[in-house]
Amino acid sequence: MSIVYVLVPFALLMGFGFLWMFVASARSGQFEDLVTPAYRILMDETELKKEKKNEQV
Amino acid sequence: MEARLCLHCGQAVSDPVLLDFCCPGCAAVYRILKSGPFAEYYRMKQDGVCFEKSGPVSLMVRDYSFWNQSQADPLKIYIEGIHCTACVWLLERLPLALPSDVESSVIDLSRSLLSVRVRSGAVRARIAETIASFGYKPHLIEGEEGAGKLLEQENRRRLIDLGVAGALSGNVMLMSIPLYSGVEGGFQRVFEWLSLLLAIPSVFYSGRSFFQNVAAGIRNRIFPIDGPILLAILVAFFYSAHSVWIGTHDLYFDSLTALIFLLLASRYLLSRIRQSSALNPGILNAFHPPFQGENGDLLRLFPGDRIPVDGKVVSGGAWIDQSHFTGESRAVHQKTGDLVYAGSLIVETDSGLVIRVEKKGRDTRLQQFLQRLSDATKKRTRFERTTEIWAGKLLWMVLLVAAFASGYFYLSGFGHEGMKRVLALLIVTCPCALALATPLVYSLASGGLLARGILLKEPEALDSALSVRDLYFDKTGTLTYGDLRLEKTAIRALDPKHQSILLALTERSNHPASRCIYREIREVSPSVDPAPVSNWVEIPGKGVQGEFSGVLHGLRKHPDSERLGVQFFQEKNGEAHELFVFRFLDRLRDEIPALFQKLKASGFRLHLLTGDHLDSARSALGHLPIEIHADLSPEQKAEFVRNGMMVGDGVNDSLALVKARVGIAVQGGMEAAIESAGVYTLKPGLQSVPVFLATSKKVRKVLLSNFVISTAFNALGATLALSGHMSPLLAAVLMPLSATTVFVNSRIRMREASK
Repeated sequence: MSIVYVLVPFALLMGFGFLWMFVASARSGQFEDLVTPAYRILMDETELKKEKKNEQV
Repeated sequence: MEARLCLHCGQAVSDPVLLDFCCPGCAAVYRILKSGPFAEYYRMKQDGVCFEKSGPVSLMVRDYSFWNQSQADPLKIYIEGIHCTACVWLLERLPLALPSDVESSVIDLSRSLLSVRVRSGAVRARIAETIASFGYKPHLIEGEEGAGKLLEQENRRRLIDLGVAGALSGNVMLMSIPLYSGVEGGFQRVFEWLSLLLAIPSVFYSGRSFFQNVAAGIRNRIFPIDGPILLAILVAFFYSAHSVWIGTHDLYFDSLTALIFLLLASRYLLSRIRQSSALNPGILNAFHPPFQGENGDLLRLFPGDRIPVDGKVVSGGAWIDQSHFTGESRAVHQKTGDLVYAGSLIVETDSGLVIRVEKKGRDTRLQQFLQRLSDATKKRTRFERTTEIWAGKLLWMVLLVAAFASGYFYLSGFGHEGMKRVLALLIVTCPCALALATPLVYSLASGGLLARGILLKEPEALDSALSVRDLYFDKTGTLTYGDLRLEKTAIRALDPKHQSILLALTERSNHPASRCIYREIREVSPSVDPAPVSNWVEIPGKGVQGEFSGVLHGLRKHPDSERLGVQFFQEKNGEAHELFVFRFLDRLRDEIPALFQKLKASGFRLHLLTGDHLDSARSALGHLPIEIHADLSPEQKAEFVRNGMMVGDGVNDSLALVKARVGIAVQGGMEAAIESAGVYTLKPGLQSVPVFLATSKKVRKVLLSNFVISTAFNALGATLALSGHMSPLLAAVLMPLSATTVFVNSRIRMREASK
């Protein structure tokens, strides 16, 4: 069971790693605009598909 | 034959020359977009989502050279004319169009803001011109206004507190698993201490807002809504910490950290909801375009522009619509030396118009007015004050019960069990619906009304409207378009001397009849000048008069009630001699018949209050389900409206608007109008009436539903907590859930209301 002494600190470290990433992205304004990204997904670009097709050929 | 639609904006095409476009502007934009890499725009428009109806593009060549003075990077641009996802796509592809100027461009839809990162050596004016050539109107935004920046920072701080609380809470729960699974000995100690350590930053860092709120409440002598919560947090923390120290293994760190996280989450949601309703820049930016520049700058303006600043005309002249300030809907000619105000519309310029900026941003007359208004709307309604009092009482009651219960459990030896139950009680009860959601609902209502162009002086008006059964309408300008027409032959029949006297009499009068006479004479005889008239006076409700060559002349409602119209008279030897009678044709607004049907169906009684003759009122409105009261003086009108709603002109009907239970001013100078009426509409027409009435009903419904939800939650929760069926952890989850339910309920239902 003494493996716990390794597992727990490691788990905590991972957890805080993700927390740090969250704080960093919040600070850089990632979560400012919650409206526009939803519409960006809906944009369907055929040029991108054409480019991909050209690459394959 | 089916109407053809413009290929660019989708409006109907009526121009016989441009077969596929509604105007040259749209044609130009279409050519530009189709030829370049943006041809996809039109396909995306079809496939995409539309937020607003698009309109024809105005083809105006403007000077954007002043943009080059800005050093800002990223460049913030407010874009007028974004109406669909294709627009977002197009504007974010700006780097493709201007590879040497633009590095990246990102749109924030909720604020119609385009953020452009520029390359070194970029010509900012070119960016503006390109955006304009796509059919949008770009406005340069002045460097971050203080309030906006502060809000952003606060949001960020809140979000980070929330994130930290969430991470800590998750980890504490993880640490609790072995404890619940019955681990013993050394490992038990390890996990207990770890939970304690993780709980410390949760309480004292993420939870610091609770401490701050309670401290502020105590300082201001208001019972802090966070009182019981903070108590629960502190009790749970210190009791659990003590338990770790002495080894009694009775820990509540999981409930504690979960509570802090969930509460912060629901408060964050509340503040975002509140902001999204207040910050709607749409209509405000349409009236008051953003301006980048300094006082003393010279600004060139074009027809169709809204003036963005207060300023003085330096050269040129223009016809400007200042109706929101003066109440006059006809354009006024301003020339060198005259003052102009932000928010006014330029109708036509003669040889260009250049003004010098005197006041900008917050200092303009319009912004000052809006600021005063928004300060006033912070006033709480009677309903809100009552609910606050009840919320306070509820909190005291909870504390009392908690104290009583603790005492009982302690004395009867149920120490641990008692602690659990009391904690659960303190956590689960929350007057959120009363204390937090009620102001939210009112501010959502005000925001929704503002988006429709309806300005509210006080939210109290929404409550007053609930008890209104009678609606009183003014006639001229309110139910009618107010631009009276004269039978054409009338003016030609007058001799020039009389025409010039009439010009002088009507020049300064605001009455629709005067304006009509003035306009018609000017049109028919442009070379006639106003006569020199002295002792000019306008008698509200009666007419105008003045002396010409010692003889009193005037315009008044025809004294003989058999004859309709306005009489032009002169007084000789104390007796009035009729010189001419003007008969007016006034058009009823198109929306009236349908509107009256709807209002009647909703159970309102409709009344007309007018100073006009009974016969002319009857001929215009007799066929409608409205009760007519004619030949009234302003004082008589005021007598009628005691318990009802008055809809009229902010200035001419101010007496009645004040006396009514609710007054809606549909025209008139807004500063004066909002004083007498409680409500002022920026857009012409009567649509504001049903919208306002519907909103007030909706507000009451939502408030009541919140109340029901919250009471049910609290009653059930308190019972379960005291009887031991609810653990503190469950309480920590349910209470924020009830708060969130109430906020979301408010948001969704108020959004429906403004559709």
